[in-house]
Amino acid sequence: MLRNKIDDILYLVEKPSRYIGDEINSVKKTVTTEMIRYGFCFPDVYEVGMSHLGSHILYGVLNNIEDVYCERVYAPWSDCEAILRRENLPLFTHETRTDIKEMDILNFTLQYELSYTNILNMLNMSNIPLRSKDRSEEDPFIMAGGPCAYNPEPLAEIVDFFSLGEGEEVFIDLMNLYREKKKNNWTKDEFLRKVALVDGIYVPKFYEVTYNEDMTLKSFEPISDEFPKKIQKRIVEDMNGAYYPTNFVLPYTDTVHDRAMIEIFRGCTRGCRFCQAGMIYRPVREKSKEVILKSARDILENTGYEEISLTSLSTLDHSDIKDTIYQMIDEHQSQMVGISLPSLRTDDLAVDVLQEIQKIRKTGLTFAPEAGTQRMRDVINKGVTEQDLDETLMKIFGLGWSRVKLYFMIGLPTETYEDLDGINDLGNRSTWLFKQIPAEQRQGTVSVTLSASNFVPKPFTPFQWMAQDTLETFKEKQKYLRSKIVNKKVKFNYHDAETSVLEGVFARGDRRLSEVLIKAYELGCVFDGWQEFFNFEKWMQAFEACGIDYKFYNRERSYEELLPWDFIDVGVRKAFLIRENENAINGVVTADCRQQCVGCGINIDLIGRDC
Amino acid sequence: MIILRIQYKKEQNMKFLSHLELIKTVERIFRRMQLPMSFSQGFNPKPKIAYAAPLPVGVESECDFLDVELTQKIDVDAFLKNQGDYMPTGLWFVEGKYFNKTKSLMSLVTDSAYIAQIEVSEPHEKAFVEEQLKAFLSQDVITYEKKNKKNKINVIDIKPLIQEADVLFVEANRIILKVLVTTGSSGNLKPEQLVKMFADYCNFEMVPGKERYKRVDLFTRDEQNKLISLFEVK
Repeated sequence: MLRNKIDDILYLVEKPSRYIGDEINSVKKTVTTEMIRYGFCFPDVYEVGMSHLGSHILYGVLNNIEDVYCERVYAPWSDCEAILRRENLPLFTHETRTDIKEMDILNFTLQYELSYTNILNMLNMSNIPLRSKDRSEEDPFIMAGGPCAYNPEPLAEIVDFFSLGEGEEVFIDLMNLYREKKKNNWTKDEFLRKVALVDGIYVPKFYEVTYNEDMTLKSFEPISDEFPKKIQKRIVEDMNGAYYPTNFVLPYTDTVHDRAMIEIFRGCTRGCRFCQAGMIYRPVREKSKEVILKSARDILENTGYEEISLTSLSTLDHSDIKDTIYQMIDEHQSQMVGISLPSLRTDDLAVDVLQEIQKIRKTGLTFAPEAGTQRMRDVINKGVTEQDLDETLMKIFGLGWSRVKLYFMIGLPTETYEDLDGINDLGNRSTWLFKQIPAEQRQGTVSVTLSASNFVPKPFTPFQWMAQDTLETFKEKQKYLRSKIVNKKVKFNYHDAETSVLEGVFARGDRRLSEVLIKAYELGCVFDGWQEFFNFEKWMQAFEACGIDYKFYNRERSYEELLPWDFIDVGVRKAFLIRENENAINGVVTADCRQQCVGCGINIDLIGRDC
Repeated sequence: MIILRIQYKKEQNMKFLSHLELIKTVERIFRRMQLPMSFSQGFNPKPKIAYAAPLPVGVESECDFLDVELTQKIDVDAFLKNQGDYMPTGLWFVEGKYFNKTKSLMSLVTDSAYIAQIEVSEPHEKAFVEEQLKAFLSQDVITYEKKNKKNKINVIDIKPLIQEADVLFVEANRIILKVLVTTGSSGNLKPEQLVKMFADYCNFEMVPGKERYKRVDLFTRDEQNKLISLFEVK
């Protein structure tokens, strides 16, 4: 039996606890033939997948349906994969250790572009053909969703259908339809024709693409009138009434985020121009203080977590955040439950809240100025001033913190070397500010980490037309900064340039990249998000073999060009994105839309209400 | 001080938890059960839970102990009776007893008993394996060489660390032994080491990846040097 064979191999692998399943709160159901078997696949290792909030939500949504059994699947680490292949064992689900090929639907969540080869590898481990057209009636449907599905085209030849937007409601529609399929014995094609009409579902094989001589898209049309021309993302309108799990599956091994995750709102009003999440998750929908506090209580009771993380795009923007946090601390401090916040903006509120939080547990602090100069921050619409940063740092140093991490991006549109100098200046300014605090007030020695990621233009942002820096430019800029930063109290981290360039290709790619992806996988590319596996030369070979110049995808585009993701409607109007792109070039700041509507169109077009 | 000493089992899938993973899991189980735990002071308060003898990954245990410090007494019978809703399959609290003050669990442990199962390349009779074990144990010294951190070679004699060893079962290529070995600060012998040296002595070729170990008992010693349970400590 597969179950026992896997027990045997777990004696041989590194960190076996990530494969055992059987976690506290994992769902156990008796498998029946009527049941819809659903594999929720995260194309990375367990530690990463289990840290993803969306997976926990959808796991709960699906398993709440009586005749659906949703099981989790992760990419095994290379040692485990090698043994499974050697012993001729398939990739298995965590709950029942069933071959993933026996599932009805395998749903991959697309969190980052560089996990795509892992999808192929996971299919291959269970002998499932990689291309949609090669799969038979017996193979499971391959489905995908998540933020990268907003440009689904690079996976168009691989994935049978995509779910665009928030899954809470569409998954229920989907299961209702699949139940019909089972009952009426529909063929796969019959099912796909019906599922293509469900709001928020995209079936690539019913759409045809033609190209111009310069490689750009000429047309993108459904093959018949029965299919929609535009596909609108799905959203949950009322977050207070929406399903939210309280019995999170508890991992045994240390995962990336191993704490009680509480989503306090969806969307973001800040309008940073580089940020895809800030655009695609609009509009802002808050949960009330009462709902949040109840969630926290229930989750702690069911999981025994010792830390709560308030996860949202800009957590402190919640309109009732101060009261919510203070009350939460009050309720749980006797049990020594700490509260953590994701990266913070620099303002007074952050300082007040931090002061309260640190009474229980002191955590490291991360701020995200994103760019080194005021000019650059205005271009990206990050409304943070140097004065804000100064005041915040002074206050937190005065409260006893000595270590801070500052996030930046390099390669932003219009960036000059002066802007890079600004990153170094902010590091030096931070250590200098620390010394301005009276010695009896400050603690320890100051340590500042400057972390620079490489800018990747993403679909549905005002920067979706912008060129991405070339490999050479990124490397030059990194080298320049490395040589500039000499302050011993300042550490400088930066991301691999090759990885970011490849991410840029797939972020704005078209369906011709499916073949490149398969070729790269055949050449041995997997776990591309992991430095120990990433192999840029093999990727270059794959592009060459397919006759595609990768630089085509990193180039600047005109407003007139038909973009591969134009058929998707995320609710934010293209005219708004164009206006914001122009504002960026002119260095004009746009207000936070909590203060005044900036006309992105989301509420009017998607929900049917004014802002 | 209110210290609740708990005997627990760690079997089935739970054998794959590392000691650190076990610590985290038990802490969360106690929090779920709303045990009134005492916490350490400082920036990162931790509940005060101490363990007797950490197990390596892959080793099952029928008998292990932990001490948890509480702020007030709870009804131990009810605690044991209600645990079903909180425990993952394979982890189980067997018994609990209060102590006021105690030496640390880890320093108390002196001996532990294991059942070891191996597969060897050739089939054997039980009588033969027993004979071999007797001969193995009757050596004057049973030594192996171990490199220390400075790359110096130490010769280690495990004979004084073997308290008992018996052949429980032999079926063709499968051999099951029961051993009682010294464990703790005054000397420590891992059953894996003992089994490996015995197999080498007999020229048995062990099938890789087929060794299985289960701890079945954990002891301390009283003033007369007699083995007693960790619950019987005064």
